[in-house]
Amino acid sequence: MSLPAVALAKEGWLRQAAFIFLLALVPAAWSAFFSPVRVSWTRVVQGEVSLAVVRSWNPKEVLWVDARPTAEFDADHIPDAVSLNLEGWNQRFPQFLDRWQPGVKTVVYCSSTSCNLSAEVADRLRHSSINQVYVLSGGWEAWLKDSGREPTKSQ
Amino acid sequence: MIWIERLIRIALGLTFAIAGALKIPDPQSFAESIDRFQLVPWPGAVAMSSLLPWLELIAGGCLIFGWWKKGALSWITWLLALFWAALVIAAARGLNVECGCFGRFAGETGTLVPLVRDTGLLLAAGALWWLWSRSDKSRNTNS
Repeated sequence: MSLPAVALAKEGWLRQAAFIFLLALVPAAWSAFFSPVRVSWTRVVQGEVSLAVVRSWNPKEVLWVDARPTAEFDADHIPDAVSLNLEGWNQRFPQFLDRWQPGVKTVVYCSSTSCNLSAEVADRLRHSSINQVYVLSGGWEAWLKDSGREPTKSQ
Repeated sequence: MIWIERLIRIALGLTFAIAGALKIPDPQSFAESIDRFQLVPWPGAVAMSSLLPWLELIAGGCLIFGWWKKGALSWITWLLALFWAALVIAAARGLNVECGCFGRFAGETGTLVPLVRDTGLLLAAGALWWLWSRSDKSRNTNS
């Protein structure tokens, strides 16, 4: 009876916390699996494209957009990429427009698969009437891997 | 001292109940907010976006009405510590995250304001634990 688990189970607050968790689990399961506004378990990114597909395009018709923080862009980036992130949007968007031409495919990337900045920048570009906007699957890490380079710790 | 305890308990409970209730109708926005912290993979963010708002609502409600109040406060303390750690990690990594603490309605960006608020709420939770341990001690002494 003196086992630590038994002693813990006797603690009132722990039992209460377990009840609260179980109580929350029921509506949470409904939210996750049955609710009309439930979230997809696989992330859907509009216009997501693999590096292999981008490589198959005419390089002259591709404009790379780096959506990572400016410090990461300054450290290294895809050659000829334009830095455009949400923080400095108003300053950098005119620089993007200088490079952009109708008919060009804009490919936005951020650091890795888990980042969301590229999807956000791509959305904003679409709202700014830029067409043919794509998001690079796997981002900067995928590009590094494809180029035979290892991502550094800060990425 | 009773009115101080009641004031802190209800304020803390209300904050959590409102934060939870605001996020329940829009789990997509909350999942995206969690995802921006880059701490868990997307399915983890989906699971958290379904569970955390209900946990906040139920724990907050229990605290307001004084039901299972120690269990409720232990959840609230853990959640506050979790949010605090996530914000500190995001700030250290230089991520431009929005807290997502009150759903998309608050539209907060940056980590400073949520960090200050979280610290204040953690102090309030600590004060409640202290007040309860004091009253427990005095009850034990009297009996």
